[in-house]
Amino acid sequence: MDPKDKDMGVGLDNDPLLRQLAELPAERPDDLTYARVRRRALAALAEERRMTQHPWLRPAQTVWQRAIMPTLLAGTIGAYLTWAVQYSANLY
Amino acid sequence: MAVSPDSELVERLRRGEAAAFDVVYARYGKRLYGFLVRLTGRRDLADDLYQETWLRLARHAGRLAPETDLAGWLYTVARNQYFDHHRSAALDGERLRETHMLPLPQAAEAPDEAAAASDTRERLERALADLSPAHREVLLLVAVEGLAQDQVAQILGIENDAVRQRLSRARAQLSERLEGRERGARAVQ
Repeated sequence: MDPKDKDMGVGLDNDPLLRQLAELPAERPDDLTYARVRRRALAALAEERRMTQHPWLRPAQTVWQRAIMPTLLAGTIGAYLTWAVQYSANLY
Repeated sequence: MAVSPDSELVERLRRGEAAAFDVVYARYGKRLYGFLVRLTGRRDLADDLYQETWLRLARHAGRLAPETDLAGWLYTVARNQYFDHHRSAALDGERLRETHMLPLPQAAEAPDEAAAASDTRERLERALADLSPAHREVLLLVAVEGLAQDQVAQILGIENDAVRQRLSRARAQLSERLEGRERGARAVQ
């Protein structure tokens, strides 16, 4: 790297204020956060890899999530409500 | 053990190698978190953005360009997410005020010197938190993270000259605010 690039023409190395900034204590994530984020990201990476290896999974998942599952759910709820209304009507 | 260059890590990430992700996480995880804490001024928000940044890398790994600058990519995603959040928070005055709350650093040293150092540090942290996000981020990327000018320009999406100008203005504002705080502190004593 060209030292001028690093310095940026503002005297980075000689500027006491910028040096003070560079010496601020590091802020670190707590161990739990650090481990949790790593675990979730690795799971996402594995999922992404699975999708790449089986390209048909993605459209299949989309069809399942956006068409089949909502239809099944709506159908089940509709059938239950129909049954409940008919059952109540028969009681009175 | 040999240190893997970023270009090699990018190649391995593109293949979805978990070990490569671990190396990248160990290399940039803590630095990125520090950047986010100071940029946002809030640990809870920094935690969320930190997680979102790494999840995005994991989900995007297979589509990284071979010549991707990993550090630049991570800082770009992190700051873009912050600015997205900041824009929506700006609609809510209370949340906007919260963005100025920075947890105080904990003093690690003992009595007098440590107290003085901590006081100076605290004033610096507060002055930094008082700056506009654009000024704060350029100071963080250059002075705290030690990134090269080209990288900073790429992360901010501006020209090198504009980086220099913004840095110079940010430095002047920081100095001004710091002096104001020191005057205030002397007046109280």
